[in-house]
Amino acid sequence: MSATISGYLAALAAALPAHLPDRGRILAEVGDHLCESRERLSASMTLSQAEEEAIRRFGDPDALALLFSGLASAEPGAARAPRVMNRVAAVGGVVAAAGLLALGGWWLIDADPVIGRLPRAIAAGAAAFVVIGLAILQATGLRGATGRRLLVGGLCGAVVLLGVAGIVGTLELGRASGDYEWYGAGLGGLLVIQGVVGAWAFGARRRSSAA
Amino acid sequence: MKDTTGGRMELLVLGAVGAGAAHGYAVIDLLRERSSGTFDLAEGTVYPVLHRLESRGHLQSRWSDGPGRRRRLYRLTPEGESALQAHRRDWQVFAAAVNATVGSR
Repeated sequence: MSATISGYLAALAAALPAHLPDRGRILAEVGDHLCESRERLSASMTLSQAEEEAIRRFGDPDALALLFSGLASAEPGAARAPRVMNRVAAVGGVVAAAGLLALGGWWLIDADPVIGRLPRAIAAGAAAFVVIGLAILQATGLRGATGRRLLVGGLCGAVVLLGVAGIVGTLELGRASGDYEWYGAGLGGLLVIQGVVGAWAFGARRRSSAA
Repeated sequence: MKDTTGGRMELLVLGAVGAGAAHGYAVIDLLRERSSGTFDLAEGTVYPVLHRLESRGHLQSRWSDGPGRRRRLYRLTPEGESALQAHRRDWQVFAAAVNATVGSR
């Protein structure tokens, strides 16, 4: 890469916000574009003229950096979060989810039969899924549409499952002890509503963004 | 950087990618050619739009892995197809309204 193009990329790198996601990719794409532009323009002018013209056509690096900065401020909070926090969220999420899954497995194999083993294991598995999903969203921002849709759909489904397991567990406990603790079923019902409303709101936002 | 697209960059870029322009340079070329030079943009302005559309899930991209010059290749996602159709409808309504108001002689 020539000194002229390298100089332009250095100016753009200096103007781009440090926290911008895909900063390296932006610079690589711009570098590739300028090289291609120089190559095509050099058919009708000298190489140094072609470089100057390619840079002139590409535009002022400070103005371009402002356009990319607008993109950064439109990123979801997760994508802007400091890298250390993302790592903490990812590691913490995996540890917490592993603990919940182990607890669910233990409940499934060897648990007090007053509350059914299955609802408790399902509750632990669904909670683990929610924790893992939130950790993935926090750590990566998950920009791909299909991945985000699958994960958010799964999260909402897991919250609904958690609510159903809460209701079933509460009813089983009540049947065994004769004492129905309705607040448990109420909390389960709230989780079901939250999962359904969450899925509906995500779908509505996507439809509005597509329009 | 002057916007010669009347604030319709997203529609134009989605349309260009939908028409087969797979990388930034090709998008700019296609816009210039099909508009007979009307959309002679500062070329850099296309990239923030490509990235924004990708962050919304309307485009997907990857580096080319074949021989020759390395390029970032873009393609429409199903969400991008829907967004393009919606933008097209909006534009047709808008253009018809302008023509009806100012005349299209």
